[in-house]
Amino acid sequence: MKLKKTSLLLTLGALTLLSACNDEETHVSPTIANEALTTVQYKLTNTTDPTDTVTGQWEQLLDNNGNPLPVDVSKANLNLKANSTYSAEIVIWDKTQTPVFNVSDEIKERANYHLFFYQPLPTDTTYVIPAPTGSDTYPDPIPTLLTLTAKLNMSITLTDHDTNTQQYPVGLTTLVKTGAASTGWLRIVLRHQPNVKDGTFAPGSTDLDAGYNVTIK
Amino acid sequence: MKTTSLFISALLLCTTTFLHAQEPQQSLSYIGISVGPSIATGDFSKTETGTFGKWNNQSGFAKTAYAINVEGAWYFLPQFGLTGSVAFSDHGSLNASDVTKLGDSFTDAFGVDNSTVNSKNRYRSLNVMAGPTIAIPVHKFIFEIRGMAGIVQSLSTPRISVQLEDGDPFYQNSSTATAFAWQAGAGMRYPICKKLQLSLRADYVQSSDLSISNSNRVNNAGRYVTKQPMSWINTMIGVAYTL
Repeated sequence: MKLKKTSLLLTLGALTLLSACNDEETHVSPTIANEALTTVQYKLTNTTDPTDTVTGQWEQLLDNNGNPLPVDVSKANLNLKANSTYSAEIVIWDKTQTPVFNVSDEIKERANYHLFFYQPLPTDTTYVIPAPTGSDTYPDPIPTLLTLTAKLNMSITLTDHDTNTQQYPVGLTTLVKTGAASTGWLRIVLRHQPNVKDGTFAPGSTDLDAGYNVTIK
Repeated sequence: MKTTSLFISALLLCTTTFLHAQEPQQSLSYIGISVGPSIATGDFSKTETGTFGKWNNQSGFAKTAYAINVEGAWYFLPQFGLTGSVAFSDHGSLNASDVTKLGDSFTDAFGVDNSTVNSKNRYRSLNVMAGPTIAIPVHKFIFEIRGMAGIVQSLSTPRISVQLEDGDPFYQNSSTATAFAWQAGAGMRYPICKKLQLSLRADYVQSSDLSISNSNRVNNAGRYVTKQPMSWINTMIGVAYTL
């Protein structure tokens, strides 16, 4: 009986200690790896003539130490027909991996906090990407030779949506409408907005900033 | 502490009269108090966060802790009666390994450089149950089987905050919701003095999904818990005062 009483008292003591234990834990978890967005292909197909396809490629590879090499803009050209409508998709590759990794698929899976912004330049309407801040507005290969009287007659509508409770566009697929003949540039920015995506440009950080020369004729 | 003091007092009282105990009390009705380990089971006890796109929103990270039970039974037929209990259950808090798993999952889910996960509060609940019971006396032992239904009133669940890089944190809030619950179990009582019996029993308890609220969750990504199923096994030792 004495043993029983002792056991019970020990049990009650242990329970008291359990209740007094620290209930708070904190941990910081760093990422293991990120993809490199080395190659951006913007593929357009004329909606009235499927044989009319245009692909522009913007590429910035990395050296063996992971440092960015100069941007290759030799294929970053979009030659479009005036007064036409194109369905378009953006395909992004990570060429640092073997085999080459399709980052677009990853972005599609993570669409709830990614958002593309397409900025035709020059423009006389409100900037989709915030107003010019010097060279920041014109990533390679776009020169900073903006002529404010000129305008690139091009409008882009995002056609895909995420699965957030309040749905927002994503921008992996788009509809491009061209107007009268003009020349200019198309800037494409991918914003990474973890738990802050609200359809606007500001929250989050930039994953990708690419540009194309555009000729409409 | 009141319940534990009562428990100890009853034991001490019993030891002084043990040698004078007569034949076992034939009355089956009783009130009693018991205490013992409460073992979280099923999804409630799981610690898996899942993988990208297949996040596990059911894992509760609950632990084996303890329960304190005040119970009673009224036998209006020779071996058949009604039983009821009020139990306080504790199922612990998230440990370092748990928050590490959660942190890793949110870092992956949101594709960020890092995430900071903080957890505080324990799983604590008050359970009020009632139902039928059957008693089978065998020599000095009284074996009992019972099934009960009632409610689980959550007193607290772990509050988890997640900060992605240096952004504003979002929260899985501590829940004080009420859920339906049932339990089934078996046990036995053994007379240790004239009016007191030692009781040993095990009960399986399961609740419907406990509602969990979240704050500042802007985008749907990663583990997102809005309902927490709970289940556990109580293994109890206690004393019963026969009526």
